[in-house]
Amino acid sequence: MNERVALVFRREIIMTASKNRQLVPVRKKKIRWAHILPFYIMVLPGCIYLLVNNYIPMYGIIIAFKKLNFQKGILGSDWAGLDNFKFLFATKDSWVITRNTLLYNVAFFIVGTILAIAMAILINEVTSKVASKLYQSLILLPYLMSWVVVGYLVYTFLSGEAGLINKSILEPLGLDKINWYMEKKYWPFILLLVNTWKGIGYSMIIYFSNVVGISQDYYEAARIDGATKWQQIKKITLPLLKPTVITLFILSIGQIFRSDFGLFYQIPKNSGPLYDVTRTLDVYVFQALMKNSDYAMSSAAGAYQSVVGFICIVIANQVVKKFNKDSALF
Amino acid sequence: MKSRENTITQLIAHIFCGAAALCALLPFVLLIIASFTDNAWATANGYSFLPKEWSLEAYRYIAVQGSTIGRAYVMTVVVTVLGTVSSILITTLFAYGISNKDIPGMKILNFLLVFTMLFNGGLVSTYYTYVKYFQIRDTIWALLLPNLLMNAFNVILVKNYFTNSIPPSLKEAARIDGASEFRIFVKIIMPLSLPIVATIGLMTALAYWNDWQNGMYYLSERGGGHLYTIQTVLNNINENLQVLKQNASQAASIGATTVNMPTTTIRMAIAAIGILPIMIAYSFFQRYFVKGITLGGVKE
Amino acid sequence: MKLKKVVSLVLCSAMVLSSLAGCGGSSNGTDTGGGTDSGTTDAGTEGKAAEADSGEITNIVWQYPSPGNLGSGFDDVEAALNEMLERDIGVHVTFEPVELAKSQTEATLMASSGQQLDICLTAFTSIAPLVDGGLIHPLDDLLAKNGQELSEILGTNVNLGKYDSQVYGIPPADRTGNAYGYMARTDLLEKYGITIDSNKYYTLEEIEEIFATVKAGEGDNFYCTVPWNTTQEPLNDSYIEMDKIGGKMGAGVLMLNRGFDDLTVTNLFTTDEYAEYANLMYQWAQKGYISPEAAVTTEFAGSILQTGNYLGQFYWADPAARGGMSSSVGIDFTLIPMIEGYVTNNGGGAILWSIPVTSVNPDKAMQALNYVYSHPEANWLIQFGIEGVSYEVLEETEEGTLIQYLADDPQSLPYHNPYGLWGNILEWPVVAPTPINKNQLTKEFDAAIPESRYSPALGYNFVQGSVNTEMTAVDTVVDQYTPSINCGALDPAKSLPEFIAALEAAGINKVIEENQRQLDAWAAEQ
Repeated sequence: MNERVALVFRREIIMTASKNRQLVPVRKKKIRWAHILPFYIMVLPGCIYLLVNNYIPMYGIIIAFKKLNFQKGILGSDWAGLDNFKFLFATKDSWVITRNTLLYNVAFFIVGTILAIAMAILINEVTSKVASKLYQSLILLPYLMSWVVVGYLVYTFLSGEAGLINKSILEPLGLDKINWYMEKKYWPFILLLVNTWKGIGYSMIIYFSNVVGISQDYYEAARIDGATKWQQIKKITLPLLKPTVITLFILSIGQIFRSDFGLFYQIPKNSGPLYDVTRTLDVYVFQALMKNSDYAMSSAAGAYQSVVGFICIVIANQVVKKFNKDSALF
Repeated sequence: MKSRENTITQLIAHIFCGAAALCALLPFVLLIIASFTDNAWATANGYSFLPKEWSLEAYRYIAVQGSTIGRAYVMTVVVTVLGTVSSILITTLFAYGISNKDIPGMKILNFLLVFTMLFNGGLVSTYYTYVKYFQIRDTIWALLLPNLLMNAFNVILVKNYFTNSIPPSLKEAARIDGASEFRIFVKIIMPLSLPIVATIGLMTALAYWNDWQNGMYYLSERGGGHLYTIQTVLNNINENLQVLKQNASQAASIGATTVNMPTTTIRMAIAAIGILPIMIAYSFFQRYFVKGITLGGVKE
Repeated sequence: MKLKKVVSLVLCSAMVLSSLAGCGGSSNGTDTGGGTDSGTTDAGTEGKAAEADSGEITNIVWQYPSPGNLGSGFDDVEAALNEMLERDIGVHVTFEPVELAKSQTEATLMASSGQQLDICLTAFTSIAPLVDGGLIHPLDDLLAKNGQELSEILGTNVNLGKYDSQVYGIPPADRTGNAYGYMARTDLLEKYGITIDSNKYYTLEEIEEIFATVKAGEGDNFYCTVPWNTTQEPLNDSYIEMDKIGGKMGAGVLMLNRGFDDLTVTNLFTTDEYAEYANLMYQWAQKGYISPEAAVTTEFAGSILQTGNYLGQFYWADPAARGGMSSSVGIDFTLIPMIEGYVTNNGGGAILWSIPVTSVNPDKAMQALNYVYSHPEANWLIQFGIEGVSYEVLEETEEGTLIQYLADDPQSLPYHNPYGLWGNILEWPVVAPTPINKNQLTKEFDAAIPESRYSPALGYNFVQGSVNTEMTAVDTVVDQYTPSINCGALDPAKSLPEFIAALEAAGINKVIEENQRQLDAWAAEQ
């Protein structure tokens, strides 16, 4: 239908071709400054902050490619090409380190999300206000401890001689004592457990605020229809949490080459025999540069993690866009 | 049937959450007990819930630095309060802005925001910027500004909440009534967003409370020592320990009398001191926090 | 596309601003003004112009490693020091207290952002980053011009501060040689009727016999040694004589036990000596001489010894060592000597004072250093505080001065400096209950070391620049395996070959070749 309809609105006419190759009149929106100016004012403080805090210092990334000499300044220093990145791959464990970083991140995300959502839903169900408040505060408690302290506490449990597990559980049962810090097969589970224990209070809060935000009307309607609790959760709560889960998923993909340094360094007490399962990229970088504070090399490590994370997040975002346009990050 | 189902649900909820809460609490109790344990006994026998020898040595060691710690607490509270309030303002305003995707430029801003989560200039250039150009060294701005004032993660959370949980019809209706954007923001959006504001408020407060890096890099001991927050003070003690331990052979040669160095027990006491206040504060504010979360969730 | 435009605009502005950074000097000082009173904002902190030399007082900023709590008497000590310095050399010192652990980090940040810093401290890390980053001055000329007394006092110790054939750091003046042995609890030795001949050098077998005797008597929860699980050296250095000429074991060592004129850089971990050592440690752990926790414990050795379940540890054997260890642990120890004193370089000093490029007057800075080293009054002031306030003199003879802190817990004094890194350690007063002639004995100890026991590589320093990557990787591998080997936690039959393979994969042979090449070149010039 090649109907040309002229629409005069504020003296602007634009014709565009729609998807089925028909000429369709479209009203070009004139930029109504009065309408959008408030928005610009609102984002102004944030923009200034991003500029000062993140974008001005962004040039620091080139330190990764330079042979840093402060007398010449960062820009004036000689180029080092990719030399600063070499130490990341110079160990025969490079593959192991990468594997550790990736697998742990995946495991942490899956387990953490499932448990956090479960916890959020359950706490929401608890009718006693006192109990629910108590649970919430206590579960948050581990998040407040630093990894150094958690390391000591774990040591209390796992110490070979006097550890609580060896002394109070294994011995009375007649089993042999286990030298935990030398046996690597237990550690993936230990680290998963400790990381979940520490982080769940925090992630639970995010989901909790979403769960609470779900209108009770939905549940009322479902109850009237005779749905069981489990069905209510499956059909109402979980789908409504999906956007948040997807967002968090994309964000954590962006951090896929990063890891919580404190967890992987302090908890295993930096024990050599465990490196195969406890050493991640951040730990390796720290160990390498601990005695040799080379800013260029640590910057290179950071750049490496950033680039990989960026590629992954763009891919993930594109994939999500295909299924659910709104949930995509950008 | 309904009440039976209810009872089962309650039972499951209590068991699960109760167990989780217990798992969270026990190690903390252990921490407190450990800080009161005699270090020599603990080194020989390991920490336990029922140590045979108690001692106040750890707290005595800390008490020597009492005034520093007291002042550091005050500083931490001030910084946390100021920082959290400012952060909430900036974050929500920015998030509201970019949640309106149809406004020109907002999509790009969104991308720029996410970009900052991935790429970072690093310590040296950030330090340059803040110290050389903005000269925040040894001022309170050093504790408030770097890295903590607006966090991309929080912005995204708030933006998502705005997009998903606030019906656009409300905004449209208000606009037709002639309300300005600011008015809409303050009178409609914010009250409905209490859950997420409470959430990011808590997360920001925790971030400010736990931060020790800003103090370490931007405050010199003499010029800015009075601005140290508690975590910086505690971290300094720990760092010194680490270095001396790492270099035990050389440390002994400079006569750093290792016996006067904080033992593990003291480190436990230090940790307890770092956590206790925020736990107490949280239990006070939890009322409002939960109110915020639950109230805001009630739709019309 | 709009995105491109905005992004490029942002990046452009970033570039513009960063080019200002690259100039390294122009500060767009946007004074935020909101700061609370910064207390003692000392004149030196924001790059004041250098003041004229003659007649006027130059203000220099000197890094002061502090344990965190400065004490009320800090300003008094600084004032008393300045009285002397202003009077004699026209210098006013402003101390910049900094945590020991971050002294080099702070120095790097300050110097690289143009803030005045005249004397900085490097503690326990290599000085290479500061040199390679162009942050500190070479000191040879400054020493010659302004530090004659300092050079004399240091003697050969000045080699500890050399890098790439130039002096970059000044170490504290301490003893030159090191001897090693084993410290055993006196009461336990008496209990088992073991007498020690302090003029004999014991072998490891003889020490093991002592272990066996004591262990048999003490039973299960008793251990005979505390391996330091954060150091790489075998047996806390009491095993054999060697010179770690690269500063790190991974850079290769000179096996001085085979001969003091041996200039072959060797991979210690492939030697027979090391294999024997690894096996021995493993057996000791099996026999219960080493605690199974040794590899992962975070306690200091001193605290571990205090529990009473330990016989002792391998330690230094110079005259001051025994007294120092006994008083700090609180138990009396007897020294069993194992290795006679010898002199090495070990790749550089652990503590070095340097002069950053942002110093307003490097000559005056060097003069200040020179003054503190050569004037005991100033030295004692910084190290111990004001007499009568922090300490009192108990005895004064020609052998030395004996002092005592005026409080049971020195940390409660108005001024207490726990880090012994200032000036001329051999001229310090001795703190009770250490014997008053400690310095005298140390000097005699040094003098008694024959030149035949001097490492042939004194004055040589390894520049790792071209093998930086390999060195980093190798060092990481060494850190991974040595604690477990030192504590006998792993069966060397399996772990030692793994260790060696990992080292080779990391490139240790390349590092050692480079080290050897530089050493040969240096030796040719001597």
